[in-house]
Amino acid sequence: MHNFNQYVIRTERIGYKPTEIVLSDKVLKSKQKHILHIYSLPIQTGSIIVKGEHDDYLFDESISPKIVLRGKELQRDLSSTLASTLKNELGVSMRAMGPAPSRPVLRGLGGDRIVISEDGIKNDDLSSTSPDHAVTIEPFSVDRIEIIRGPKILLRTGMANGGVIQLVRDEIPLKLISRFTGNAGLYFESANKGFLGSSTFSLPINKFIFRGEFSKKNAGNISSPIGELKNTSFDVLNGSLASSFVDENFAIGANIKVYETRYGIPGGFVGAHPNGVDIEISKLQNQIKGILKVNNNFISELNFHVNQLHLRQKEFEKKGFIGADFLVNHLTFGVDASHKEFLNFNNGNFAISLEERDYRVGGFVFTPTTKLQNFSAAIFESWKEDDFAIQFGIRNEIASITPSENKYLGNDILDLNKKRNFWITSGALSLLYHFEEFSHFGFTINKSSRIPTIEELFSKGPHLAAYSFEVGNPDLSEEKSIGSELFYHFEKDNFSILVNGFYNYFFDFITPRNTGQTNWATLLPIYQTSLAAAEFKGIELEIKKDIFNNFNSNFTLSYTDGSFAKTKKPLPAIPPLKIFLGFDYKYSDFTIGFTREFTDKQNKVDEFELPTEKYAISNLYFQYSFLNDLQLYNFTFSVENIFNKTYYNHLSRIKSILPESGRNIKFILRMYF
Amino acid sequence: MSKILLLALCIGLFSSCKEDITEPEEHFEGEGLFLLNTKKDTVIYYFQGKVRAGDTLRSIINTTSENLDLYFLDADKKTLNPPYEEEDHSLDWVITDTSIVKFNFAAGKKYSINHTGKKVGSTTFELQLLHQGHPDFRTVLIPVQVK
Repeated sequence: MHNFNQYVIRTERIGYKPTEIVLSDKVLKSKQKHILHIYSLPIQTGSIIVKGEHDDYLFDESISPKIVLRGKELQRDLSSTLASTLKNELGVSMRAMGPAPSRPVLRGLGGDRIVISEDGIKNDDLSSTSPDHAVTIEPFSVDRIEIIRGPKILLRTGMANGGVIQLVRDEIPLKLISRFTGNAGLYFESANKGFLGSSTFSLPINKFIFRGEFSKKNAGNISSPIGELKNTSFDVLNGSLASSFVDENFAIGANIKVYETRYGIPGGFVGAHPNGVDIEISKLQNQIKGILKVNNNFISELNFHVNQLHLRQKEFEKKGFIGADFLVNHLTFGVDASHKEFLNFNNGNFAISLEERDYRVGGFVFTPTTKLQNFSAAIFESWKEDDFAIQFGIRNEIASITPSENKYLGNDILDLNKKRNFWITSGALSLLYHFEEFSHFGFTINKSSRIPTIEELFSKGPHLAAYSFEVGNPDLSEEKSIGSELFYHFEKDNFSILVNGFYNYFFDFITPRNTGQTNWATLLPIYQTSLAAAEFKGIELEIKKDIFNNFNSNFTLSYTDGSFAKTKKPLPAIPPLKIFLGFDYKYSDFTIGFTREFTDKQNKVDEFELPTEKYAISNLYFQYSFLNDLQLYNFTFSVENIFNKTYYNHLSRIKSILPESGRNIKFILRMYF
Repeated sequence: MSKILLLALCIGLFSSCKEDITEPEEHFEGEGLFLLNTKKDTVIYYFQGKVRAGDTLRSIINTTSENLDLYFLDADKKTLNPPYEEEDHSLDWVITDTSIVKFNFAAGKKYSINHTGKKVGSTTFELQLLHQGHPDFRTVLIPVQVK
């Protein structure tokens, strides 16, 4: 810079303090040397959370429709159960029988049609078999939750029109980490005075990694606008300890995992125990997982796992007597091979799995002791050319279900000692066309098959906590269905829209139905497994728009209609129309948001099923993140059901007495180190 | 250290878990019951969730009633004898308001009861046939009146 016979030399560099010196003509002409000192300057920025995601396939997000909940979004929606955490996601509703026993329902499909898996290993608890059975997973320590549909799920399940809910927490670490890391968290909610403490750590020592996790949750009776709801308290103890060895082309690890819970099912209505029922679940899992990177021209990677589950579930009457006693021993072995480019397929997987399930029931239930053996083989392929992509999957399963002789059945007309063999095939094909720059259009067709569960085949007796007398059907065939889905997605700049339309036709839909009869000895309503043609159709819509700088909006609509195909009468437990509207404003490390949930009335009900009134509730949340040395703190404060409305979940088996919680203030703190 | 811990984990893995379950037992399949007084008159008749119209257990304050013998009914309304010989079956009752009436077993009899009025008023009770503590059979609420 030259000015009035003076020269200014200025230095500026990121990380250094700007410096300048002034030199006159005279000094310059003297040819003296001058040293310019620059000083480092620490940079302060707002905390930035870097999230990584890797999709194996082009269009994977689109052609394998996937909802992902992670990071701050996950923390905002985090609730005491997996189902309540996911309940506002597109196409998701919640089956419940109190605050603790709840399970996600996708597009009206629940139970065994929806697979819940943790780090790729199926969760084999009893939650899919009855509404009073809780999902034995602690959602707080999860890093990411994905809801996956499309052909790829055939690697895990034959229900191509169902879905897989995948929880990711890398419990057995198979990738090297450079330093001691982990997180610790606290959770509090006012509606049930629930409190949770959680801690997770990972420690690398040479090529070994040790990981541990522990959490404890206690919650009291839930409060609603009509008062406290008795016998709705619960507690959960969750822990795991894993060790793994990670080499360049090979990694293997083992994990021991414990989950224990106690919870209440409220009583006090027709068919229920006056004071409710208490349930205790104890789950122990031993797992081995491994990855082998294969250096050949065809296979790129082999993943394998062994999972041994031991689960005990006891259901007590208030006097402390056991009403039902379940004991499950389940062993699974699975291998998944990813291949390289082959023929015209860009990528793909082959998977096989072997399962053995030993199921014993005792107490005042007369379902026979039964053994299930299952072998499955599946293939998934992906092909892409310019703007087209195709994915398809095929799965075959062979199963044998063998009940032992049951001497307690008397002169029952059902042959509950019948061995059943199944061989089923499922398949799915997805096409995606990417047109213009920001749009794509897709179409999926599938044929799904499901083997009936042991409970659907051989149940017999009062299920005290479910307040029903359950009768199976040992002659059930496989549940077959065909389905189709059409979707369109547009995303440009600060606007995106996703529209899904689906239609599923079940030739033999298996569902327990209230027969309208009563078991007069126990005064419980008789639910019998029935089989009928059924159809599900629906539409989903999601629009996201940044209204102006840092001010975002989000709108979702989920609608499912389910009916018996012949009579056109409604199926039981079909979720009503739901609309979710959200706004949030981000400023630096702060986010403030407002959401409104609207659920329509449900008058389309099965015989002996109660309708539900419409409702709308409002929620508010505030999030703040900050970095302190190497610790990142995420803080969430939210108020759910701000106006303390009384409302009922249509998919609650006990909605006649149990509304959802009233105003609920939640506080979540999570510290990552 | 790490190898020892890994070995310990592997040993713990896949060790079999043997555990006994509460074995199911044969259950009593009654669908009704009746109470007979010493004159063999039916005081209460209950079948498939309904108490016979007008049936109310009548009790007198501070007076113990005569013994009432209990019999069960099957689905065809045929009389079923209670499981006299089975030790793990027993009769039980739940009184809605225990300040009004109390029930007692008749001396030496498992399926015979009497009642004593404690306070003038009305309440209800439920009879249960317990089997290892849980009710194999239960009635709806039956009215009782104390004068």
